[in-house]
Amino acid sequence: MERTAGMADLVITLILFLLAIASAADRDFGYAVTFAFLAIGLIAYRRKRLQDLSEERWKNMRARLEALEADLHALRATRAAEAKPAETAVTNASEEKKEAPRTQAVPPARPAEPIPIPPKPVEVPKPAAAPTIPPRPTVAPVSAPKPIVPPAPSANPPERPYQPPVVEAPPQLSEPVVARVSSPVAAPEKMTKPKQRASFEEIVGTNWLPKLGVVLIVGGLVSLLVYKWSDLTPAVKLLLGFVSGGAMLGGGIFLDRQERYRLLARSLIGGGWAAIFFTTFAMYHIPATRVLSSPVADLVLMMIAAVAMVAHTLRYRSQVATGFAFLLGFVAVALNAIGPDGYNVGVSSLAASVVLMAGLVAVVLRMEWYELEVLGIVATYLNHYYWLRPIIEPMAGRHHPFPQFLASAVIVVLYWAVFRASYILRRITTNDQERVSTIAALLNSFFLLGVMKYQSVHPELAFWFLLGLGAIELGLGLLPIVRRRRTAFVLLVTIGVTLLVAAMPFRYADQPSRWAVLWLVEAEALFLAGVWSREIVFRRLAMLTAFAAAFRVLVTQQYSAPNNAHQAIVFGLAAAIFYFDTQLVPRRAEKLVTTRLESTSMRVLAYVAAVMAFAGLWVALPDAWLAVGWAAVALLLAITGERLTSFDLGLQAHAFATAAFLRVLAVNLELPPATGHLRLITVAAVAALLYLCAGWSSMGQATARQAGRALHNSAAALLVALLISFEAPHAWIAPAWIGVALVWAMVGRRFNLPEVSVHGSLLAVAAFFSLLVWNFDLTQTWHGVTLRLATILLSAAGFYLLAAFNDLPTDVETHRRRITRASHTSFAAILVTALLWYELQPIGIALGWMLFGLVLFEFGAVQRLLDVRLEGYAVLAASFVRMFFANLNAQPSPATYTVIPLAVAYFYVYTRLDGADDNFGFERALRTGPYHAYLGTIAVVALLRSQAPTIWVTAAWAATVLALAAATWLLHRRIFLHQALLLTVGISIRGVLLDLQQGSPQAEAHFHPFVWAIALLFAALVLGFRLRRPEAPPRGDVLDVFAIFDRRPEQFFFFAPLALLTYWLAIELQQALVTVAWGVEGVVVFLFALWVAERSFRLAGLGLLLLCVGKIVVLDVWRLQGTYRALTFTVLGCALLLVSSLYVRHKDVFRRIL
Amino acid sequence: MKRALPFLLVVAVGVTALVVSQVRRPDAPVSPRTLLYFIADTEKELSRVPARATRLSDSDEIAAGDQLAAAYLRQMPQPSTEADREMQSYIARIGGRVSGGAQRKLPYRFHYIPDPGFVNAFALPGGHVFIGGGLIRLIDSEDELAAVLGHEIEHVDRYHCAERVQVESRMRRLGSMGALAQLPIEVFQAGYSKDQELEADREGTRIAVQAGYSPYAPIRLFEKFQRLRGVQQTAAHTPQQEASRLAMETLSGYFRSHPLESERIAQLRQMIVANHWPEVSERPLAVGLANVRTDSESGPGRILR
Repeated sequence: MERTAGMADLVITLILFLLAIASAADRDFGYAVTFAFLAIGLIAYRRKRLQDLSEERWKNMRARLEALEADLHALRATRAAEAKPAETAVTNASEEKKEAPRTQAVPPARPAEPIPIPPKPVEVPKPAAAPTIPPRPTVAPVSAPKPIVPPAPSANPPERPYQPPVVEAPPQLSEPVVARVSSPVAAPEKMTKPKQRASFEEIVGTNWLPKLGVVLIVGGLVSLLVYKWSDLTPAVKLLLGFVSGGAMLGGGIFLDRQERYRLLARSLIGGGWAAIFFTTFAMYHIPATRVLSSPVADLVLMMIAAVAMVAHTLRYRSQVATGFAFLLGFVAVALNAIGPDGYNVGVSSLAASVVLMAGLVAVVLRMEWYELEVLGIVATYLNHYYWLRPIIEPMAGRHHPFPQFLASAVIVVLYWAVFRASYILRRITTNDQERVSTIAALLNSFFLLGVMKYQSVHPELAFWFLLGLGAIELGLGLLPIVRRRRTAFVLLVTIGVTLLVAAMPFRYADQPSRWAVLWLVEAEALFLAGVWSREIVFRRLAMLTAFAAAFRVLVTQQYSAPNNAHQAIVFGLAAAIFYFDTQLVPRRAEKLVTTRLESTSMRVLAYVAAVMAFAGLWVALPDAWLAVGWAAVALLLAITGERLTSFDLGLQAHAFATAAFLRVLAVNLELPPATGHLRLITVAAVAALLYLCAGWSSMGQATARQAGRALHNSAAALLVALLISFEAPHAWIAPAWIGVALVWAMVGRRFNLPEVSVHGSLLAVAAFFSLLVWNFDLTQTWHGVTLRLATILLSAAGFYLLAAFNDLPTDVETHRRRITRASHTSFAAILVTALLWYELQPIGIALGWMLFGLVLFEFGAVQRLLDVRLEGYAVLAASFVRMFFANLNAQPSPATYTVIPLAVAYFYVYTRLDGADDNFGFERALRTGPYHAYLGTIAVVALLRSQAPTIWVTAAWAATVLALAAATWLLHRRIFLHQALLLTVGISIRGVLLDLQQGSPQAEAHFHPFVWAIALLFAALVLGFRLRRPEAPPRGDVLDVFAIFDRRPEQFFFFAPLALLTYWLAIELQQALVTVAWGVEGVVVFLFALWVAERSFRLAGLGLLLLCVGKIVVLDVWRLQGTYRALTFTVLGCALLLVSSLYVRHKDVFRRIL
Repeated sequence: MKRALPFLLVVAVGVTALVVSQVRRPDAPVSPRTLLYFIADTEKELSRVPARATRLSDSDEIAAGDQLAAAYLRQMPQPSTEADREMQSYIARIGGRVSGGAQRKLPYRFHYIPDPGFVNAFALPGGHVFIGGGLIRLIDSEDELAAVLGHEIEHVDRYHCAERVQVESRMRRLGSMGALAQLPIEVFQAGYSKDQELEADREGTRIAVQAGYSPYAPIRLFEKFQRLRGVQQTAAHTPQQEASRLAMETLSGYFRSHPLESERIAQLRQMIVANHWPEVSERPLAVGLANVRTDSESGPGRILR
């Protein structure tokens, strides 16, 4: 590789020098100086590069030497260890056993005897600049290792003046060498630096200086010939030139026999031939030395000089020298191509170029100097270009036919043919040769096309030319001789295909569709050829062509012009071809794709196919139907991807589906009404296709497939919902949503699609809020009923059906299913509750709610649905609250007939919950039943409180107490007893604080209503006795205080009215009669206590009597006068006697019951 | 069926009641008054005994009322025209006649506030009774004026005003008698509990009848208020509107609760029947009302506190 680069540098350098000389000859010194500096700079760069490479090689070599030294020390140690036991074995056999292990373990630092040095040391290449390497001893084979064989000296001296020695890698030592001992002296380190300095000096002294000297001599000779020195005639000048050149050539030939002067000799040889050639050139072309009048004659002479030069240099088998000679030959032809006056001298001058080219090719093939061919190709074509310039340049860009065109074209094609034949027929032995040949082949095609383009006067023939040339190149590539060389095959096929592809724009530039189609055809042909022959080159070229075609199609189409069938066909064809190539063919041809690059290309091409299909539909379909088309393609891709288990197709299906979805959102849903049912049809079609896509979602793992399916289903669901919102009348949107949600719920349940069920739930939520926001304001009638009533009732029914059918699949957890169902029933309950508010009279709302709550409760109880029962409780509670804000504000009659049913309903719920049904465990834990019992009682009490005359409220409540006590007795439900007790407390408070505090009783009441309250409470005492259960065990907690009244309710029913009666007597009666009344009351209580055998009552009677005695002593005896005092004392005395007599008479009884 | 029968019976009862209510469409204003009555009455009942135990003496009540009235009169327009002064004296004359039936013999004083936007009447402890020009504009006869004044007199006579002073001074921690003048007058304008209002209706009508006025005058007045309230009160259009209205009424109407006019009328009719009160021809107002205008924006809900 480095060698090739060096050759290229050399060629370029020479060209630059020649250009500099030519520029100087034309007195264009600016160019001359520039070319000269460039040439010098290139030389300096090349030197520096060589120096770096040299240093790098030295480092490698030093490392290898160190390794070798280490190996050498190890070998010496091994040999010493083996030799010593052999010497001592004769003298002392017993010591052998003892010392042998030690000897092996610790080898001596130096061997006792010097190691024999092999007779032939390593030879170092001849150049003096080469560093001196110490003789490399060859170790005698101990066992397996072979002796190191130094490289054989080359038969030909190296061309390059400085060639660092190449040391072969050390042989692999076998097991006996156990370790590498580092060299005790860093000898290589010490000798590296001086040798580097010496080599640079030697490079300058032995390489640069002679070349520079020769160049200067030649330059001086050129100057001598160019300038019109008056002292010298042209003939003298020419003679001086030939003599100088001959002297240099002769000196070089002489010195070349000695090795040390070989570099100088070669420089002199080159300079000598250059001087001779230039002198020959000057015979016609330099005015100061012109002695010939015919350019042909001069050309013949120059060709003779060149041929002689080539023939001579071949003796040295030096590619540089021969190449320099050929270069001079080409320069001669170029210089002869243009006459002294700057005009073209005709085609005849090109014949010499053909001859030179043929000779060069012959030399190249014979000597395998393929680098030289690169020079030849460049020189040949540049020569032709130089010849063409006087013809083409005056045309100033407006090319027109010229007489030499055909000949020029034939010659150029001949150049190409000869060089191509050389490329095909050559024998390649190294990779470097192949690489250089590749450069040559590429340059051949490049310069051919360049020159043909430069001289082109018939652009219309470019297509056929490229087509033909491409076909020929492709055909050459398929020749058996070429196919033996993989690189050549690849190169020629690539060039051929490139030309075939590149030909199309020259003919179909104004027909982009045809251009693209032809590229597609080419791509497909190549691909099928690659598949048929299983040749990856064809397939790769097919890929590149396909990408180019796709790019062409995409960037040249007019997307703004819809319904373009022509463009659509192109897109469709491209998509079909690409999908066929990437999806079907690889599955039919087994193991076709073996490289990662090709696999990736296939995948990319598949996506390009998708883009083609996408764009094709865009230009083919009207706006409204584009989304449908995309969705259809999505379905097709999804199905195909599922069948072929293609991740890419699945992903593309998602992309198409997404595009269709977004398109619908952006365009289809906004279609104007003038389009009729187009929105309905297209959006529904897209939704249906998306649903179908969901069924074939095959991308990735199971989770990804599930997600893909869910996404498709979700998109379709959203479209359906939006379509309904756009198409359905305003009032019926929500019912329609609920209907669709119901369908989804059933489908999700039937086909085990959780996401579909979720969609149903979400749509139901949307419908619910839509109903809340919009439908309650609808007062228009529809078939005799308001739209509000119709739509909301229908929706509520739908929600209940949803709750029934929206049982999510069994794999969904129970909690989620329950929440979903509860949400649906809750929505329905809220809707119906609100609807009742709107549709009923204010006083009837509580009744409506009660009835609805009752139905919910009963339905939930029968169906064992706790959620529905809870909703029923909530609605019943709402009816209870509502009662306070409306029903109790009404007149007594409507308040009564609307509140009593409420109370009855609450009591009914209580009795159901408190029954033997085992389905109410939740309610029992929360004591829901008793709460409803309290709601019923509170409703009745509140009704009485608000509707009864104020002074009759207490009496009404007392009647309620009596009723509650009776209910307790009849129904055996103690909760009514508790309510009765609580209400008795309320009666007492109200009686004391209100009824008995009123300033004056109404005169219209013949008897204070409060007395009725007391009487009714006393009536409850009868039931109190029946309800008492003293044997009931105490609770054992704080509430035990209240539990006493539960066990002994008669106490409460006795003492409460007794206290009220006593207080009432104190307020109502005159001061004098109070004591009498209390005395009578005490006696009655005492007698009653005896009758019922209740000690606490008897004590109460006695207490009253004693209270009377105390009152008499403290108050009456001082305040009462006359009749009242007498009456008081008499009555109380009688009472006390009566009581006393009773004690005496029933002494035994008292003792027993005390 | 055994289980379904009770359910069906309950539903039948409910449906029947619902149908009846839908057909008859009885008036049932949606308001929190029932709850407010309950709260206010309970508060009143619970504070009655302590108030009686710590009741102000008549002299203290009169002194407190004088302070409150003086402060209020300084803020309000005084009768400046001859007509106003004539109305002032006319009201005082009628009030003095009616207050003769009161149990407590207090120095009742009657004030006319010549503000047509003041559609209200209220009393202060110690016997000060105020009546606004707006309310006078709604009154058609001297009997109605007597009923209004009798109602306010009974608020004083039955210690409603005095007990409110006691409660408010405790709640505001006003210690001395002099500090009672700091009580805002709105406390007395806001009205009383349902029982107190009914009591004031009952006893006020009684003393008016005793003074020779018609017991039907307050009934006609309440019927007038009822019509005006029906005109002003509109039904809520949405549950949210109704809920917010109820919330506002609950928060603002704690002391503005009054019995329904129908209930007040029913009580008076019951009294008329029980007491065999004869129907007396009503006397027209003796003083003209040319200078009194009506503020239509003022509602009857604030009348007769």
